[in-house]
Amino acid sequence: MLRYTVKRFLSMLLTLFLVATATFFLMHAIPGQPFEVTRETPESVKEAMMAKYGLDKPLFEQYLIYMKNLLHGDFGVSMKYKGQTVTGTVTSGMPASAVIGFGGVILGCLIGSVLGALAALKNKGFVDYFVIVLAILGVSVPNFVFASLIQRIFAVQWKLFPIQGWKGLSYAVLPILAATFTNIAHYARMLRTSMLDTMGQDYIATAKSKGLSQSEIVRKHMLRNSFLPLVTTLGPMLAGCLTGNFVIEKIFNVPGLGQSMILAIQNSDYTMIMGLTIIFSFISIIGYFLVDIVYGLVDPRIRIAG
Amino acid sequence: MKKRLLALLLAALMVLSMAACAGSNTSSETPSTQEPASNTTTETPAAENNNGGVATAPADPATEELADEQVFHYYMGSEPSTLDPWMNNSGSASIIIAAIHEPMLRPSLEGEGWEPGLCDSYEKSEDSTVHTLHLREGAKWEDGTDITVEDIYNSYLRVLNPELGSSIAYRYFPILNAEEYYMGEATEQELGIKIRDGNLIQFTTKKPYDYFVDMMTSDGFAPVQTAAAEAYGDMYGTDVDKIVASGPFKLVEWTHQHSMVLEKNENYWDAENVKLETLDVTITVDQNTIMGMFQNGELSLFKVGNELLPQYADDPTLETDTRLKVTFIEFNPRNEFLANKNIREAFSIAFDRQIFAEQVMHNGKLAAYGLVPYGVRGVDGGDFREQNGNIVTDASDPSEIERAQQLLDTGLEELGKTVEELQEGFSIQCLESGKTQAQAIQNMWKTNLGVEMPVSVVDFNVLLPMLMEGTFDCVIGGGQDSNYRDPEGFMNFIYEEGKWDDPEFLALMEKVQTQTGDERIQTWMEIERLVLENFIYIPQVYAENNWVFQSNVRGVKIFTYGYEFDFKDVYLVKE
Repeated sequence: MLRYTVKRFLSMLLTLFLVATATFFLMHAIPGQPFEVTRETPESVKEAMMAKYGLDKPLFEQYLIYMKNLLHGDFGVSMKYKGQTVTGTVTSGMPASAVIGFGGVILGCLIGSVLGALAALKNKGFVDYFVIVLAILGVSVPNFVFASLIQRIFAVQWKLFPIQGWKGLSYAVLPILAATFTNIAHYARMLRTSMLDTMGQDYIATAKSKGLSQSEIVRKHMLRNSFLPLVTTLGPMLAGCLTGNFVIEKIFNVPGLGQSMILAIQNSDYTMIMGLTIIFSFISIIGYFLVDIVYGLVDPRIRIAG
Repeated sequence: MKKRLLALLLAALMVLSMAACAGSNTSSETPSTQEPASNTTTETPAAENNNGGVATAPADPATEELADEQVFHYYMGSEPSTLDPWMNNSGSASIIIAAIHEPMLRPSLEGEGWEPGLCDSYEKSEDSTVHTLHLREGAKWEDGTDITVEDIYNSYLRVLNPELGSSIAYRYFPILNAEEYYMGEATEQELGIKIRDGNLIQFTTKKPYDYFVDMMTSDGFAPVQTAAAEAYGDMYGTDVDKIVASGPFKLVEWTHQHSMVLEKNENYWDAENVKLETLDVTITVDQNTIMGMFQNGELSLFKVGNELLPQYADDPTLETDTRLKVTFIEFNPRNEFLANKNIREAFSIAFDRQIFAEQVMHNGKLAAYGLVPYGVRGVDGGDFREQNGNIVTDASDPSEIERAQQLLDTGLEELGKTVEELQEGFSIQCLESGKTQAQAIQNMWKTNLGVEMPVSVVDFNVLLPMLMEGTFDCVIGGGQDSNYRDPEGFMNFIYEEGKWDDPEFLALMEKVQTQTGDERIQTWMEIERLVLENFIYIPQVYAENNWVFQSNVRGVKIFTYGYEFDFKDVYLVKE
């Protein structure tokens, strides 16, 4: 297990290095610069600005400088919002994004799994059709529509929760609800398919012929096997938790991480793009690493060889 | 039965997704003044007073009394990258900057367009090259220290040092030798800024500047405290503890990307006349959220977009302000077809501005028949646009369509080309945000001239070099706005870019640089006619913003140029 972990760690570093390098050169291939240029900007000002940001140096030299700083753990300062460092942006945006992201995934996963399991068990019954329709809605209605809808109903008309902001628990309710909606649909659909698939397996027939009760079959044989595909999605989900809800964050004006990346790309904010990409890649890689371990716990057949 | 239920749900789903599309359209509207404004009302485009600005109804002291809580809830669409007056290039940030930093002079809705600010007098020499201002006695920074003429002087030295890295440093180049100093080719002594005895600051400009006073009223020329500027360098204005106020308000809280809180500055020179205690700013871009907050009373004002205007048309608090901006189609005369003036004119006529303004911009009175919008100084204190009249003609007069078709035929004959070759010959470039506009114009050309040009959407960072280097064909939705109420702001860029080398134009441009007063304005009128009669720049529309306010709000000043809102005189009444 130790050898495996070390191996994984080293390949993780290599991946991060490749991600950083690729991002650096791709980013500089996009036209534009981190400061605003208009039709009126004279050459003298453009040149001074390029020099100020070190963009007048050859690209490879810029790359070396960036990598050197990175090795010292210095992600740099945003080129557009000079008061904000990359690490500062991440640490200040992380909590709000995590609350909404994890809240949405956990609630969505719980409710979705229950609905999905019920739908599979009552295949072609009312519950099943209800879940199918819900899943279609959840997947096809963009979450900003749903978010705006619940905002209008619960905050503007009924005034039960605040419209926007981030000052306490009551501010988190609507964003989490909005994030949950899509997840419910996602997990319900996935678990339903997976359960139906499991039901047709030989070992379920075996269990039945052994004389096990229905509830025992569901609990001991069906659920555990059906959850496998869900576990696979957990890795990307972990990174998605922090950055995937930028629309919801925008609507409810939550000071989260989601919008930082979008803004950085729009502004050609080089340091911010680099820093955030590397940090998000890191989180994703950790996510996949955890998934591999959890996989082993859930499914003894693929336990990792030490 | 089940099938029918499913069909019903699917129908509901379609309605929802259509709502989604509508939602995404409105959400692009932000209160930033840099966005092309596109609103509707039925008033005339003429300035409502000398300066074209508006103010919310003044209170009637007999019947109204002050509300207990003096809090104004404002919002902005994006986080300001800085609140440093000398580094900022965002129109929405200007409003906050001006609330914190007192400009040299305050813009005014009356008279000459200015009233005392940090300085209490302004004088210019007869030839408009020497401008002298007197710093008011006893003006203080937020921390209680005196504001000095050295602070003003140092602010210029700071921005003209390339190491500060201000992307707007060129805005200060009108000052004599400023560009040379910036490039290290002139000394501080040669710079056209001097401190004179008796708290005077004197600017010498490199050519006559009649509208220098407009610069003095803009937030971009508001001095910063020398000590703070030295301590924070280019970080000045990036956080709540890195800014020292001189204006009616001071920044007390700034949650980045989320909100700001400004409070009354007790050390402000005119603090006794500031009634507002708190200016609360929400940074949010989502239009539904903004509308919901306004309806719940959580915002004091709300920018009404096109789609919503009919709903608010009768609202007594609706205020319309023209913004000094024009959008235009730009033809590249280097294109083999567009090099022909007859062809350019044919396209200009075939574009029906009236229908375009009514149906695409939802506001018929925005149709632009000149390059300079309404609200710009003309001869003898009048309005430039009214005086120079409508210059271009178009298909809104049906008899013109035939002429356009003839012009196109003549043009093609001169070139020895066919309509088919023309259709292959150039394409329309636009930004994603201007796609609808471009398609509407494409359609007009097809209907009126029978030629269809392809539209290609280009990213701003790609389009800008194309425009500068002259590698475009026909750009729709380009524009020009000005921080100053002067025709120069709308035409000088043509000269600066140097793409058009018409000798008559160059001669007039050289002439206008040396002139002052009404003579200068008259030359600009000639230049405008010359430019428009060459059909390289084809005016599309002017701009306008519409705002509604909570009914207890009084005293908001709205300006047509520079920063849009002045909160100094704002107060709330009991209802």
